[in-house]
Amino acid sequence: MKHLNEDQLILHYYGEAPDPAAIESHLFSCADCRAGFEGLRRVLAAANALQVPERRESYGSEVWQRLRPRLSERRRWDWKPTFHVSRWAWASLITAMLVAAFFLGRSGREPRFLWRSSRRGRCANASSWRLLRIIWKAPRGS
Amino acid sequence: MISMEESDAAAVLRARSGDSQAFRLLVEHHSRNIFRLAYRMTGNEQDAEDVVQETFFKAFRQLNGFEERSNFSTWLYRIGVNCALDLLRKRRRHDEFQEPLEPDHGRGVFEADPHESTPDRLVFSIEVKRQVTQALERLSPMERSAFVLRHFEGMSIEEVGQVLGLQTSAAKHSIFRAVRKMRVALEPLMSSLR
Repeated sequence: MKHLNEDQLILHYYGEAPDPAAIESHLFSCADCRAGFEGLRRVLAAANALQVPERRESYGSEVWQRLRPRLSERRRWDWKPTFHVSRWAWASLITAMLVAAFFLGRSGREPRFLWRSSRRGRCANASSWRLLRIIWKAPRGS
Repeated sequence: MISMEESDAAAVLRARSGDSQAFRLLVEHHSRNIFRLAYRMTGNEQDAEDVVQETFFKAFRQLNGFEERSNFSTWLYRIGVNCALDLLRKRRRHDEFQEPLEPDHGRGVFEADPHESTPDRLVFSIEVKRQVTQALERLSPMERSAFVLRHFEGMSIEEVGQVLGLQTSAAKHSIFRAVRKMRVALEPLMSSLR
């Protein structure tokens, strides 16, 4: 077996190597790898020097007591949960309005002004063009 | 007997429907774990307390977004890690405008351990803690989070990936990088012991 690399040693240290028995047997027979693993173990054990200050049994209740005013304040003022709950209702209402507007538009009377397919529309179009041409041709500054 | 996971799931359901006592249960179950995580991420007690508060406040706000099939504890750890990272970013920005406060790194972390027997050992222990804290501070936010979760919290690499929103292989590589950096930083000190 080749020498173990650092990644394999790290996985072995954390008990996540795919074949721990093979690694153990290699460490037993290979002094270099054993020294490497010992070095890693010393460094990672030193990291444990970082101790966390103890918290009392009642710590959870203390956290809750400090948190509670913030939560109730939010509940009073924040409108988001209401919006969240009725999101689908809003979406359905808007969709229904769009569908209704589409069908009303189709079944209603055609708009007359500037509507090319209607005769009156064509007249209106023609008069608009005539008006535009007059404006365009009018002397500047008048 | 009801497992912690089941009782969490039931409490989440009740909390979602507005039962504040159910949310209280969740806070009481998980506060100490979140404090431990936050302390290891930030390195000081006051920041860790702020992270705990912020984590539960955010969890409460995002409770509707929690997927029932997920593990509440993993979800909460993810929020906790993000809150700690936000605080570290803010602190880094703030520190850019301040004089370096070398001895202040010790707030909480460097407190002398009364069980250390001889003065030499006491000095060495303080030095180790200082070096460990500095080494952790030199890690990138992702490496630091991955290392704290794997090394101190004892999560599997797969769980670390879940908490950090990473593929298992990416989580694994963050841990490898973190351990290598820790080794480079701490090995000289460890060699001086021999």
